Amino acid sequence: MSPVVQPILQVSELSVSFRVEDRWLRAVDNVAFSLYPGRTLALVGESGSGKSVTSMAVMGLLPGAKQCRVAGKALLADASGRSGIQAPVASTSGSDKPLSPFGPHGGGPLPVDLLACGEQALRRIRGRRIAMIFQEPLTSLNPLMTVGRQIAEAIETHTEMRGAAAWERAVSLMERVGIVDAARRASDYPHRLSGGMRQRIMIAMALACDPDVLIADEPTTALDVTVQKQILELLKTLQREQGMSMLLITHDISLVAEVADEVAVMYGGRIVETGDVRTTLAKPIHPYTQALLACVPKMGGGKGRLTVISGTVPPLVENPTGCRFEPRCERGAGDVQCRTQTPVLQGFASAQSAACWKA
Amino acid sequence: MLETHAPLLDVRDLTVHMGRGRNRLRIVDDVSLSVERGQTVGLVGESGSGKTTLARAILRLIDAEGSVVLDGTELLRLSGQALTPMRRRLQIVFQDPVGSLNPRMTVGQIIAEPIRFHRLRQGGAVDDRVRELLDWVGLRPQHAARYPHEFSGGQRQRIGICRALAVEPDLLICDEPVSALDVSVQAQILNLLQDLQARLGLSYLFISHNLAVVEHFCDKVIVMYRGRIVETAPADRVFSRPAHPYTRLLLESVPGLDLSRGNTVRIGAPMVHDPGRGTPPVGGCGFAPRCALAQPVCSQGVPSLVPVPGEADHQAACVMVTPSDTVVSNCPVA
Repeated sequence: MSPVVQPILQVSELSVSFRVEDRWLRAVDNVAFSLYPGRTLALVGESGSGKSVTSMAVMGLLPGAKQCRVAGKALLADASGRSGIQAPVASTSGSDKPLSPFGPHGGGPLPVDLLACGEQALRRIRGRRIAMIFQEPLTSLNPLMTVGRQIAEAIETHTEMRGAAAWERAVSLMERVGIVDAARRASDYPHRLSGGMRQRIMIAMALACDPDVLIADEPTTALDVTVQKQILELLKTLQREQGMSMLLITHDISLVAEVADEVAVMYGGRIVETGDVRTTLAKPIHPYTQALLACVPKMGGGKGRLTVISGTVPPLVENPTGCRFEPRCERGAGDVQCRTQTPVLQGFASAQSAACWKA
Repeated sequence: MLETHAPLLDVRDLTVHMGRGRNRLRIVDDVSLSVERGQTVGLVGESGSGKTTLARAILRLIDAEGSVVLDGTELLRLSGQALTPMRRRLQIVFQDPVGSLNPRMTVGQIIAEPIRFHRLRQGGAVDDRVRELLDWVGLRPQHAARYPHEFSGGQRQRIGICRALAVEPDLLICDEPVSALDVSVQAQILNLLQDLQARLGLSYLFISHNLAVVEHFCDKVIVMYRGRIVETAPADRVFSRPAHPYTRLLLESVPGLDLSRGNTVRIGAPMVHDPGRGTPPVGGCGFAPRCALAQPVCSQGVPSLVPVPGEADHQAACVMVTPSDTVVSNCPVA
């Protein structure tokens, strides 16, 4: 199972600082991870852990240098040999895969550093090679435009397709994401659709150019459990059919068990533990991962008191040193090494690493 | 004295309409439920099932038909002055602790206001009471001088709980109290609510969409769908032996940490459809359009809550309910 293939997206030494008054506060601190073709990596963490900032940095969506400093690398590999790429696209569109003047995926044969390439180059990559879906589909959709038109607009922006052809492709994408009676629904405005349908529209838009990487930032957090399940099923199906890689950002560690292959647990802007989902959730190494798993109420878990992590998520600081979890840690609270020296990720059992002095 | 045997809250045939003319809709439809003293009753269902509307109707925040009896007093017939003392006994904790705390008042003022309004303490005794309440919810006395924006989400929820407790209520309606919180903080708040219940003998009506939280926290569970109660039972029963197909659907949808199941997301689960899909038959079961077990009989009358055969305190509103713990398909029960 160990992936010998090259990662499609390789992030290294990623740090992000935000300017607050005259200080630069570090929100993401030296984060590194690799996303492999056709796999799902979940970035899991509580609010303030830096998971969303990480994904925004990769997409180049953070504010400019006056408010925000980004350092590190995010290499997007050439994916022309991607498996599953010939998977049949919805048949009703009557047209071939969208062609772009930049080859099937826009980028050249060499890896592109998303953090170093300019806005122009990024524009060709975003939407075409990396797409993103957000938590709140209502605010991400234009209320004054029909949903079909919005999907068609994305197609027109990134491909040669125009007019009726783009509309037809939009309808076929809507069918693909499981919208019943798509031809009629395409003429609806977003407010006419339920939350689950709106999220399907967002997914259809994200898929418009058959991206290599889909970043899903809390894609089901605003949805009911039954709808959440449908959306996750849809994402998994589409991922398998298209050989797409997915970066799932979530606060819900139980979702990770359902859909991800690898997991990276974030705390205070750093990845504290990463590994294969099954091993990591079954035998977590880092005290934070252990505590996080223990405090989730489980079905059939019975009554009684829940395990808690005392204290709160640490505030942002300029130069974080030591383990950020130390004040709340059962094993390391008060320990000099934990407080003053920053632990780095160390390999443990098969495909699992943790950043902890006490592990 | 006899009243101690009656439930603390007894809701009968509660119906809430919204809208006018052709757009008039039944949001809550003929709901009956009771909460005993010291009991925690969970209310679950998808968005749009009427959970919050039901809570607001019980609190007299919106108009309703039917009957809401709190400790022997009919609330729906009270008005104005007579309602005020009853309002003190029935309090609510909201999901969004930011939106429900006045940003221009200090925490001390927020908590003292209802104490003064109901004249529960006078003069300096108010401040003593505020300090005591803050201590109950795990906040420090000096927090009274700060404003809501200076607190984290979990602390704000503690303030919301503190304000609700200030008037010494008997029943606390918690509307998604932990949904906006991180899991580590969620556990702290749930433990706090349990401690307060043990200390003060409170009853809770606990609204949540998170079934794992409800199973952990509640004694009795009520499942709502499209404004009606479709199943009610002791918490362990609802989750181990669900009788209504909708309850099963909800349970199947819960993401789990049970790794022995592997990735449980499967393709083509039979009963899953968008909640908005399909118009329920007029005068039939509201869940029928989404139900894999639906039979022609399901559109011939709204099923009422009936006891699940062989199980005490367990009721379901489905014509397909059978004595076994599974619903037998293609076998309608008259």
